Amino acid sequence: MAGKFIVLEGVDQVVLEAQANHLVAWLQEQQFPVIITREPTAGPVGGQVQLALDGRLILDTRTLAVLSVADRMDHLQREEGGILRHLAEGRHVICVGYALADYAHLSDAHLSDAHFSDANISDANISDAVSLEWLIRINQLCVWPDLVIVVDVKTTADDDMRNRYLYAVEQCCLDGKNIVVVDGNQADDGLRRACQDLVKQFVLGE
Amino acid sequence: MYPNPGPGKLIVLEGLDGAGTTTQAQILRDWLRGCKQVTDVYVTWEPSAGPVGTQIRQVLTRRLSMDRRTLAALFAADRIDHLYHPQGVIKRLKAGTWVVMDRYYLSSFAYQALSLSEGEIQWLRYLHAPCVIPDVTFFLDVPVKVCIERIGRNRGTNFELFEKEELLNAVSAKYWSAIDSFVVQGENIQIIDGTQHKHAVTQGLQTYIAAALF
Repeated sequence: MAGKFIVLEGVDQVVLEAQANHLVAWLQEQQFPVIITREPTAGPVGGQVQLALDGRLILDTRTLAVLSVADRMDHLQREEGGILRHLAEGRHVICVGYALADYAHLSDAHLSDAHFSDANISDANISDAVSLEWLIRINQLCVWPDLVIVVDVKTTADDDMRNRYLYAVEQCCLDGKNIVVVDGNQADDGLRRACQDLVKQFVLGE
Repeated sequence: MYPNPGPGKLIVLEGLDGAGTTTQAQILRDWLRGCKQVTDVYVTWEPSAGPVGTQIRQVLTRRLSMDRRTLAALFAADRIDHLYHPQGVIKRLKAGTWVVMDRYYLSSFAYQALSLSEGEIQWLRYLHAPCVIPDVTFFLDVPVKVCIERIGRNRGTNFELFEKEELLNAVSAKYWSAIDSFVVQGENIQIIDGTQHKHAVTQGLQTYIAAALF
């Protein structure tokens, strides 16, 4: 039986890592083979993406968006340790961060998509904006997960980024993608159970 | 894709490996520097000397293995970096510099497209949406057998991944298909007989540039 691909997304990396580890331990208790991974990857392309995110390598947002797709393709397709190979060999894959992270962090989500329509792509002035629509298009070869859990942590500090995630979720849901938002501000036990219930419902079919 | 934002012109040289694009880029640079209509000239090539381009070279020389789709995305990322980095092509075009590029996106639609399905080629087009359309692309048309002879003479047997006859035949077919497709969309692609003596090829490029871009 093929493994299932589960992604955790959201603004708070610490919460995401903790929940991913909880899910891995929980699945292992039930004797499911499972691996945990994350993006940017530790591969050759992911290393450059991470340097750019850390501000050590100067890359334009457009370059970073395409480089991130290259890292994702490498993550999925590489022969050794690639996600698709794990899934084909029956292992479940839990991944922290995937395409939605790019949609939230790199897009100018506040601009309407009409601004980025094909008709406008040849405007005389090169726009500095990166549209969500374009990001979705360049990610179209990346396998969509069986389940994306967005852990929605409300903070006063990063409300803009939280709104970007929620906007991206809304747009992806319009596209029929399998995304569920959970309350990330509840107690750890509650959050853990909420994630487990989603995996039971959407992935394990219980 | 975007029209050229600058007063500077973007001139691209394309062709199979061995077609002479690198030689002609250097000759063009020297000639353009002597033209009163041109204030500054910058010659550049792909893969670029940037961080992503360096990684691509490791793949082409087989030091680093990579899936074909990852490599296609990496070429696009290098191209966009080449254009948009702080000292990149776009900044130079805006400052009035004439830029001569040895290879550009047409190469991806010939070389990388070889291993991509129709759907994946559409994806390749999306990846290239931020690119600037050249004022002119010169395709140096040279038969595969001539290219192979030239490569053998110049580089011995140290061929890169794509430099094999069978492969070049397939690449050539992809080039022509891509040229047809981009011309239909209004791109200015000029076919130059690259089998002529290099000075005759140069003459052809110069004549066109003087008539169309000055």
